[in-house]
Amino acid sequence: MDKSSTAAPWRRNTGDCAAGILNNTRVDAVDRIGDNGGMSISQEGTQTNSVIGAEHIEWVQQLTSRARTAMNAVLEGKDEAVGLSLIALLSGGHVLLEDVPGVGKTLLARAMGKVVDGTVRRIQFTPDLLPTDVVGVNLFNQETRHFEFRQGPVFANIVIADEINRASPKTQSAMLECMAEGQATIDGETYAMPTPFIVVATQNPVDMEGTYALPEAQRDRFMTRISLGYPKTADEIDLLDNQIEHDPLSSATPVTSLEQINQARGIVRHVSASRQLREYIVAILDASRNDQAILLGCSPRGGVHLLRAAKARAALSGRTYATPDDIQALAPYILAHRIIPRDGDDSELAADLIGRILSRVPVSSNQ
Amino acid sequence: MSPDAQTGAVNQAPVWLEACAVFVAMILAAVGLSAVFSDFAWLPSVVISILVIVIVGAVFRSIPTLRASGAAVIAQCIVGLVSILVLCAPETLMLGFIPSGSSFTAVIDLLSAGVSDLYTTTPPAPNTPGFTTVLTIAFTLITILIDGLVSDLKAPKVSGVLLLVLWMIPVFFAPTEVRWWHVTAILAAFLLLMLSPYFPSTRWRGGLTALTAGAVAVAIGIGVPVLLPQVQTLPNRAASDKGDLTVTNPFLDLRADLGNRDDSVLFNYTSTESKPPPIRLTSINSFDGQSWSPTPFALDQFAIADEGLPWPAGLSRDKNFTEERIDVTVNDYDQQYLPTPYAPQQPTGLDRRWIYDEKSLTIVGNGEKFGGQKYSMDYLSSDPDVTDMQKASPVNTRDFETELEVPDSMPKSVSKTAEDITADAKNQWEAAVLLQAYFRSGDFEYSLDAPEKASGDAISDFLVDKKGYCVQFSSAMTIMARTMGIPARIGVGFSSGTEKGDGFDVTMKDSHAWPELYFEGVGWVRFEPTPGGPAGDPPKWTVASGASQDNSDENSDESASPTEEPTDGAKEAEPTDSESTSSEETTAAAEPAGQNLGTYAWAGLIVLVILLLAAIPAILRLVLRRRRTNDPDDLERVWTEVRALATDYGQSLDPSRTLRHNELVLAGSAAGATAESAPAGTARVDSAPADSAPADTGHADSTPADTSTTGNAEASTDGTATPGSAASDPGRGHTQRATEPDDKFSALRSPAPSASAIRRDDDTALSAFVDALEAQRYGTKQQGLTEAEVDAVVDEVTADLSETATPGSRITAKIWPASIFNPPR
Repeated sequence: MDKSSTAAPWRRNTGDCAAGILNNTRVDAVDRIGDNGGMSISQEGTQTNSVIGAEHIEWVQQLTSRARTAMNAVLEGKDEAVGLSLIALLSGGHVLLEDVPGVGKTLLARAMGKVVDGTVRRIQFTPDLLPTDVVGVNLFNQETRHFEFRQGPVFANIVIADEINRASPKTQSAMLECMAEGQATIDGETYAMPTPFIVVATQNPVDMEGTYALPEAQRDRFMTRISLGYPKTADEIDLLDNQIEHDPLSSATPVTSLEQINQARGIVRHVSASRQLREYIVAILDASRNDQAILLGCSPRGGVHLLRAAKARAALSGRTYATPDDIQALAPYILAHRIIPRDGDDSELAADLIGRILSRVPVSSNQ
Repeated sequence: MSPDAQTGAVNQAPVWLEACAVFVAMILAAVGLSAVFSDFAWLPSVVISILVIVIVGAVFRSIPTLRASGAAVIAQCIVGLVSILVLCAPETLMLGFIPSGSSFTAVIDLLSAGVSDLYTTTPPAPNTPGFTTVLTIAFTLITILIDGLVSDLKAPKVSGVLLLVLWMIPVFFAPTEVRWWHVTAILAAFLLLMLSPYFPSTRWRGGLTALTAGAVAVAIGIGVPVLLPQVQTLPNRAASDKGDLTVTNPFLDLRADLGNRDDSVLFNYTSTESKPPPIRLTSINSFDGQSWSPTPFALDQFAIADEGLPWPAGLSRDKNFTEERIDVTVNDYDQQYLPTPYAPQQPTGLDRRWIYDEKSLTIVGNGEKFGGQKYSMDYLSSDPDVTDMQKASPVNTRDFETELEVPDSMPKSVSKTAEDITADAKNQWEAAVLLQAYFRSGDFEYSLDAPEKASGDAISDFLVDKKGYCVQFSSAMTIMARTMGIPARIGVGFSSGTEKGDGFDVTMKDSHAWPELYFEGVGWVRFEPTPGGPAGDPPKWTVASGASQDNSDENSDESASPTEEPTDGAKEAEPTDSESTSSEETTAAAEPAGQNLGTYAWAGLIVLVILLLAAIPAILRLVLRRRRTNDPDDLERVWTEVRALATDYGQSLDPSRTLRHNELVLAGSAAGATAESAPAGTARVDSAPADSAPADTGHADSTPADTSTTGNAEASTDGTATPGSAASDPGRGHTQRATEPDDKFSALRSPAPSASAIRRDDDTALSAFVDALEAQRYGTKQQGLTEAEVDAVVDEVTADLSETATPGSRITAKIWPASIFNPPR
């Protein structure tokens, strides 16, 4: 909690010197709006207790429902993507948005930042972007004659890594270290990221020329890969109407606070997952590794992410326990980008293969 | 099943297992074949050759270097050849194993000897060196083939065809010798070969299941025929007395043939005679006190009918016959005897496979049947002169031992009756005429109700009951004639049939038997004691003067004009004929009614038993259900019952689906329909196959959730065009979901269901149960149900399922529940 509150003092600084220091990086600082609006959750501060009650779940449900409604107000007809990114937020995962430009990837990330009342920064990745441009740099302060760490744009609650595949592998890996560890190490000094910390990376699957495709190992660190897709006709007409007249983000108001999000994360962590369910997850992972049509199966991290997301989905559904329904609904979104199909690296094919595995693996040993 | 992928060491065990399987299977096949032989002298050579082949094959397949050469089959062939030579012609081999030219010729000689042995013996046959050679060669070849199929090609099922080839031998050559163990042996051999690929990887439970299933199948296959009432369809075989050919005894079929309701024409013919004699198939002369059968005759392969038949026995060359000819066209009648009037002389249009018996002048197809044939036959129609017959001297009994044989078991009353009847006879012919007159006197009634037997006791009973049909009449007269010293036999065939156009049609109902008595100088003469049925008028010579003069006036009237047949006698005969025909008809009509009652009772009983048998699964099922649902706290067992119910109704629940999904399926939202409708409702339809239903909504390209988009559309029509109205309006989502069951599926599959979409409002027993089961499986707290709730679940699921199930599966679910046999997955 203290990380996010201490984020306030340096935030404006970074915003000011963004153009000066980081040449090719456009860093947006979005103001944290309002106080941590929302209900008092003093009685919910029991997330350390391993047993959570229905009332906790209900609180999380209401919280995410508010956030979702608010985000849906900004993004037309993207309820599923909104829901998935909220699941990622609640379960501490990162999101890889893979889609053509202009469908609202950035808008999604910024809307999320706004409704949870967190900081949002956007890093446009280019081939000449350096690791220091992302994580920050030690500057020599002439006055104090000391090196002073100047945080990079990655130190925010929500980081939009735009076109992450355009950056050099070196920069990518710096970014990915932050994602995986929740911390950055510069000149031997380790700096923790604020919580919640969620990276929303975007990738353009069409224009791959001159890019460094994200290696599998690094894709694995994203909890989910979402493709927004073009809006439906009716939604698009509404969109034209609404977005011309006013900035869609302006209508969004914070409906929760970072503190509440952190609390909700604690609750979600304690959603129970029975041994049977874990067996089911392992069976799915195992099947993906033994599938003839799959060159590289899911990593154990895939299973971890799947279970975490399933817990979040269970909370969203008002359950204190995760069920195979959660696994089946989420598996294509959580696992598809972690496998390499034998017949070419195609996201649709991968999702299809995961679907086939799901229709093959028995849900329960009793059944 | 990919031996290449395995290492040699791993591969060895299966090879030896397969070799063992092939060996045991071939031994079993040999046991099945043993039905043909009366001893087992051939077995050692066969077993040795099989063993040698199998061992050579296994060695070549298990040793890596040898396997690489791929020469297993070649080696087997060479070793097989050597072992055949060693086993069959050991004396011709140099140093005991080097074959010379003479050993090959010796084996070939033995082979041809075996083939000719095949012709000279009837099963069960004693073993000969020829048979041993034939069998050793056959088993060697088939073992090589089966071994190759099982071990190399991994196609043990095909080897069943080869086993079938071996099995054909007993089935064709010795069907009567085949016992249940022969069938069991060959079936076990096939089962073993089929299962051989699974032996290495069998977990024993699975193996036991397969074995049990096989054993039960065999037990049923053998047991059910034993339980069923015996059906007398197979006639006794003439071949049981050693004959070259397996020919049926038509005499025994007469009752069935006469009762035959089929009016189809077996064959038709035109004759040069206006009143042609009966068409004979064969004559039957041997009587053992129990049954009649043709004397087994040594059929001469070179007694070819086409080359002309010999002169009939006893007939003088210059009189007592006319030369006639008939042309026969056979329709739909198939057996081995050639129908022809007595005495056939020269057929035209028959091929050389028709051979004849010198004594009885029976013509038999050697492996040929006469269905569809068209032929003509020159024959000698007997037209005996009465005086010749009166003058005929008694025959030399040594020439007619069979035709004069009266079994000791024959009741004395028969010969006594014969003596009484013929007391006045001056000679044999008169005695015969008196016998015929006795049967035709009117005391005897033609009736198909008589017992089918023609044993000695049956004949004496017949003489008391005075009711019977041609079998009784002809056999009684034949035996009585024999007691008089007249050689007699029974001619079996057809009466002359119905006149139609130029010719005559013969149907099964014309089946007939008549006595033939021998008179020196005249030969075999037909008599006609049967007063009704297909039998026509008695032959004119049998009612001629002589005996009749000494008898009643009636007979003298009849015999007054013996040559002008159709006068009084015929007039008199006709009404009796028609009368007896009509009485036959009435008895025939009454008979089914009487039989029917019994038949219905039987049929009812059988149906009842079948229904009971069929209901056993249903009863078992009820017991299972009781057991599964008697503990309301054991939710998993209740769920097993629910799944079993679904299986019964032909809607097995997919084990890869979740409880919730299956709940929706059970509640009647067809899963298939949803699988199609789900992608249709999304914005970006893609090419996901319908069979991977969970994938349909689950694409990484993030299709918007159904609920929200349709909700939005609805919202905009309502005029409240606020974005995201679906999610902000739980009430709307709620009502909408309630009306569209498919939305439940999409909510289930939505990666991030909105709070409104997942709210559950159904308060059915099933959903409460699934709630409880899900909580028990995945949650932390345990939650039981009451007994009433469990019953409600079962009732509700049954109701839901029978609503969607087809009528057929509804019925089978009640009587023949599928889950008994295919446990719910």
